[in-house]
Amino acid sequence: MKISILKEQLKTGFLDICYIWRKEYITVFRDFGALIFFLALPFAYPLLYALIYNPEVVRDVPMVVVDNARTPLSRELARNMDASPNAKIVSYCANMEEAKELMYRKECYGILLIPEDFSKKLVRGEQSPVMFYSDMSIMLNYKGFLMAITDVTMDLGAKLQVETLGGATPEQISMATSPVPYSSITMYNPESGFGSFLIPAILVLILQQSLVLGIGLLAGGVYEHKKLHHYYSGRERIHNNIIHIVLGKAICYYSIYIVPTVFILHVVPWIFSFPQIGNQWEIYAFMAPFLFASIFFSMTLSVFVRERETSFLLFVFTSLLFLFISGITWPYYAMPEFWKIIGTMIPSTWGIQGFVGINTAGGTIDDVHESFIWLWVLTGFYFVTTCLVYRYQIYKDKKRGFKGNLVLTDEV
Amino acid sequence: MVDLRSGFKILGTVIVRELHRLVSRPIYILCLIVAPLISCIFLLTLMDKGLPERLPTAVVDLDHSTASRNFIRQLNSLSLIQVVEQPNSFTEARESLQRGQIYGFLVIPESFEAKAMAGRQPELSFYTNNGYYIPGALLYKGFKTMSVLASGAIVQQTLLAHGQYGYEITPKLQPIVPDVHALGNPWLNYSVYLNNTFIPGMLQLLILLTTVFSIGSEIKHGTSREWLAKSHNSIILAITGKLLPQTVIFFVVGALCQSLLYGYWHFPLHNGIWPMLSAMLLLVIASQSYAVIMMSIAPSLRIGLSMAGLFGIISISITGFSFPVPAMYSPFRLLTNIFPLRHYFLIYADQALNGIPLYYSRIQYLALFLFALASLPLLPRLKKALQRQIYVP
Repeated sequence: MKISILKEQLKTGFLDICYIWRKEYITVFRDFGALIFFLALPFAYPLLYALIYNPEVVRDVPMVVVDNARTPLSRELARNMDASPNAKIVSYCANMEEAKELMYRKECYGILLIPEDFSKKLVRGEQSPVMFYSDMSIMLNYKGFLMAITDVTMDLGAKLQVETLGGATPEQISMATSPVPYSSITMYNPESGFGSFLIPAILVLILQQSLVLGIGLLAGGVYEHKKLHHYYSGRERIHNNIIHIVLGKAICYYSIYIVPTVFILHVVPWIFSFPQIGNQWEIYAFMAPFLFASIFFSMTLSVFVRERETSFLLFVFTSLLFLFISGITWPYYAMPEFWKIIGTMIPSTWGIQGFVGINTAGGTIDDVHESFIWLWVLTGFYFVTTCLVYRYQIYKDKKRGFKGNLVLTDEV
Repeated sequence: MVDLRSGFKILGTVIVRELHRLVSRPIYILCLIVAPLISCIFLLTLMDKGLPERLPTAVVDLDHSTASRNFIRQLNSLSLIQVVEQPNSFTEARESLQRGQIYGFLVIPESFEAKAMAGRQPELSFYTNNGYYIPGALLYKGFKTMSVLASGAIVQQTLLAHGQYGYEITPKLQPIVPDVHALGNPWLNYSVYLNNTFIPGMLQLLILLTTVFSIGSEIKHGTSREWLAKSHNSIILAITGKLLPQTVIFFVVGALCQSLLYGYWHFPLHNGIWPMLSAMLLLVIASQSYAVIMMSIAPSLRIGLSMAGLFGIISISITGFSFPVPAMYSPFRLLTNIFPLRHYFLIYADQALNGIPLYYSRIQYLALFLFALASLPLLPRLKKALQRQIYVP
């Protein structure tokens, strides 16, 4: 007897969820604004970002040389600098004033100054310094210059060392110049590309933020046009179960997001050949709680939206903050405690860390289990807050006098 | 036409009307004051350290000798690196890397010490996770420094054993010394490099959104005709009266952000505050002008806000302070010129970071000024839309 009642209740509940699900589909697909957020935005933004960052690396940054030594050796140094992939000599200046002028006019971003006594010192067996001045407005330029000048001076220095050895065998030479050789392997982003590092984070963030904006927009519309009663009137027989509303809506958004997720996490990296060594199914399995957490996160936040369009004002700027708090640019461990705690509460933080761990670094869900668990915790947490928020809104709505069995019309 | 005196009077009534609107809704207070300041403080406190230190690192020591332990101690003494674990194998270290516990690791090969002593060139290899850009680059630097120093120590020992004097040895180790000067930012402070442009970028985004919203909601709520009537049907007075209070507030907030950057955090400011303040004022007005252009082209609140959001978000990437403009594809290289933030960034680099004469920034100031005027030809179109007063959901 009891079991059949339970069965009956489950059936009613399930049907109720499906009812809300279907209703929400109608709402979404009749709302052009929401469709843009759910479908157009996740398709357009990744492509735009990928195109901006697709060149990945900076090559041949313009620089000038002020060669006061004018010896074969100083010319060789300048030539080697020009030959390195990172720098390109655009001019040989007569003095520093001329070089500075070129830098002011942004025709170059670095100046190599070779002092008069450059070769003299070397022949005398003294250390011979060369000066490099780098513009610091763009860190990548500086990084390129630094690597180039370090490598070039080390190589030339090694060559000079060899000359002093006189008659040594190649083996002796390599032993004398580098007794402990080293090799550097850059993992997961072999060319140290800027896009390969930033895009995975942006992709995950786009998923979350488009949900936040779209769900905010829908909620704003409901609030503005006082349509909330559509969600509870006519459902009194199951006591207006809040959980059904929340679940029904969430399933609707979730099912809509399957296509954008596949596109963003699979097709975009494939088109632009971003590092993707993780197992695709692991990624999708990992994204399941991320999507749920983001959906409930968005539904909770949507309580602050009082008008369709304020969704933009409230949430667009947070995208940039969420990107930083995720720890992809500024390492997570080096953040102040306070921001770490805030970051823990944002699904994208764990989404980005986990996605980078699986997609870029080829880990498994087990490797990123911390993020995976946190996403489920956030799913649970935001599910509860969403229920509370909806309960509160419906309570207030009823108090304002929208109670009753309104006839449901097609006008949603 | 209205004469100057009554013009000012009308302007006054429009400004009062706008001030009432601004204080009537919390969303304006949020976008005008709270959001920019929170973003500013968030970014500045997040990167307060300037450069991450003590990056979690692992060392796989397959040698377990005095030399290898000494090497690990030396590595750990770098301010950049903290050796948090010593896995037993490459695989363990790699797994640790994938779990995100470390950003890189170094492998000391078997019989490292013996080979080094015998001159059989044991090879150190280091692995960095460049999926994380800054930690990857910094670790590479630290590992490389230590590896070169290890070589140097051995050569030094050999040369000493050959009976050479100490002062002869250093030039042999490194005959040519590169002396690199990082102009304006010798600490390589990441916050200086990023926040000087990123914070104005956030502000620009909020200006665009708020301006579009304040114009568009007049159409949406059907108050635009009343607004025009109040300004005696003059679109110039209507727009000026509406945007002037916001200009003042945004400029004050922008100046406050600048005072945090250059006053409290002491970021480089070589030519005094005036060039930066004027750049900020021009950036505020140019952004408002862009918002007006967007509303004139598509007088729909939602489309206007979509454009403003897209423009504001993209401008932070396309400005080229993170990824330089010359390295981008040519369409973006051209496109970057129409972004006000691009010109603000160049002014900042010239005036605050490098402190070069104002003359070299003239084009940038001019560009911002022209952006500020760019909306004028489109105002009649906006006026028509305001009179039509049609809301597109």
